[in-house]
Amino acid sequence: MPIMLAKVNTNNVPDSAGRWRAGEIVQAFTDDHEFGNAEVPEAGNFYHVGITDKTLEEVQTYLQGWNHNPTTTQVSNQGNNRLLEVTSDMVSATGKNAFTQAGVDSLITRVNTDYPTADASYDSHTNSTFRINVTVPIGNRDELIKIINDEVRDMQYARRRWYITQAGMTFLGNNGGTVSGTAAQVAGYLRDGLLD
Amino acid sequence: MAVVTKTLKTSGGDYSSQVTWESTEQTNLVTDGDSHILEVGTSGSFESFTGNFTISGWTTSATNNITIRAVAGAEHNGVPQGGSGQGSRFYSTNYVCNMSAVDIVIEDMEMETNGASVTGIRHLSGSGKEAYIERCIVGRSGTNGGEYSILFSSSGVGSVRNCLVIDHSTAAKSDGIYYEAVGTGVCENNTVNVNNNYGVKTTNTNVTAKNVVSLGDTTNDWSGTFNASSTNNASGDSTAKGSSPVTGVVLTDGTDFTEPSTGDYSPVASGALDGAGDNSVGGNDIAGVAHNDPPEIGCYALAAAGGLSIPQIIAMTRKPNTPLITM
Repeated sequence: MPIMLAKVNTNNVPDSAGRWRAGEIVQAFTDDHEFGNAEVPEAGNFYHVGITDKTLEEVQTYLQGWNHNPTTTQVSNQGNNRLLEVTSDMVSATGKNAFTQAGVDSLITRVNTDYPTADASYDSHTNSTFRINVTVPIGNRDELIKIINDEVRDMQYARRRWYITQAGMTFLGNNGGTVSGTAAQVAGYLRDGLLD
Repeated sequence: MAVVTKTLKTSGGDYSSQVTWESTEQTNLVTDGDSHILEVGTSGSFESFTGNFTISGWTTSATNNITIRAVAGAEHNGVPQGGSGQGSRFYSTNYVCNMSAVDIVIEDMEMETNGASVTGIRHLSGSGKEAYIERCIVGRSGTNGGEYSILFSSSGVGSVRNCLVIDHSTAAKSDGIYYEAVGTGVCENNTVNVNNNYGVKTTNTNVTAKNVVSLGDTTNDWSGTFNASSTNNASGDSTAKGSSPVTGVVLTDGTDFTEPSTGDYSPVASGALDGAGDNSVGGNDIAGVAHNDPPEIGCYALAAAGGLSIPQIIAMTRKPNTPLITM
């Protein structure tokens, strides 16, 4: 039975994508794992959530960071001057992790650092897509797209995409910080941030 | 200023995972007035800790910084994966140590990734942030590859000294050490053996390389324009940077290295690397043994004559509590 460790409290650091927040699933272990002194529920740092009908491998999905997952396509070109569109499926229904002008500008700076001859420039953006102009011969286009995708994938919104809901945190707090159940039972207390 | 020390062990420590450590101890070290040390492993043992490991969201400075180091007596002694009987390793199929906007020192650790298209150690962003990697073994343990073993992309300091960087993956474009953007880049007494693409690469001129050997790469062993004070570097091809370059170094067992086919990159007496370094740098080698004068090129000091292998000599002579270099 895998045991997932969830943060009890939000850390007292300036707000950023790297800040750990209450309810985020930090790590998962097998039930024979020997925890450190600061990792047991009594230490007050983590709640322990056991999933009785899943394997450790199957619960790894709840450890996924909330980064972009980009797909880049060419919209049009005039010779080596190309208009590329980047789409991410990691933007929530209400716009969490949405692309911003500042974010796209920062990414363009990094792309131009990695690939100076691309001369990338801003065209437009929506919550889940943006378009940039680049200059690259066809033979190097895929190499540049890989660089762009890598940079977009690095844009982080939160440490974890999944989290324990407030109702789940309250239940855990009232039960000594440790619960276990089937995936169906626990699912009511687990939330995918993309649905927010 | 207080020094907060936590332990990471497979049994009986504060933490059993580097990921849970980071998520719990993440703090503002500047307003706390502290520095933070994570001591990894158990003296006399080899312990490996698996996890996709990121350090970010902290507030640090050059003095209020983070140190991750093997606990005394659990250093790798220059031999990977517990081959010397002890060691402290981080392993991941993703980033093994992905650092963003932190000031950090990593000492005597082994860092391995087997991820596809991911970097092993990466230090990103953060104006003026400093990263020092000392006496570490960094690389890939499998055939997956792509990206870099070590990447610096911060405007502060990126320093690698007395480290062994190995990437024998068959995937294309796996670089060894890449200084993408640094205010000050330091590359001293490292041994870099990377199969694909570049061994040591920079895209700015703020990187000074001394006594570094890079070889085995399919593209170039060295790439970019290094600081003019770079000197006494070596390569298998003709690309070694700086003054007094040594070229044509070979991986043949017993010629320039003792037995690279089995992972022993210690220099051979009277080989191309023996005493070929610049003596403006030196200190202790990857196993904590003093470099000779003049020093060797690469991360290993030449062992005294006597017929024993380098790892055996190191294991017998290294004192467990020998003070470590601090920057």
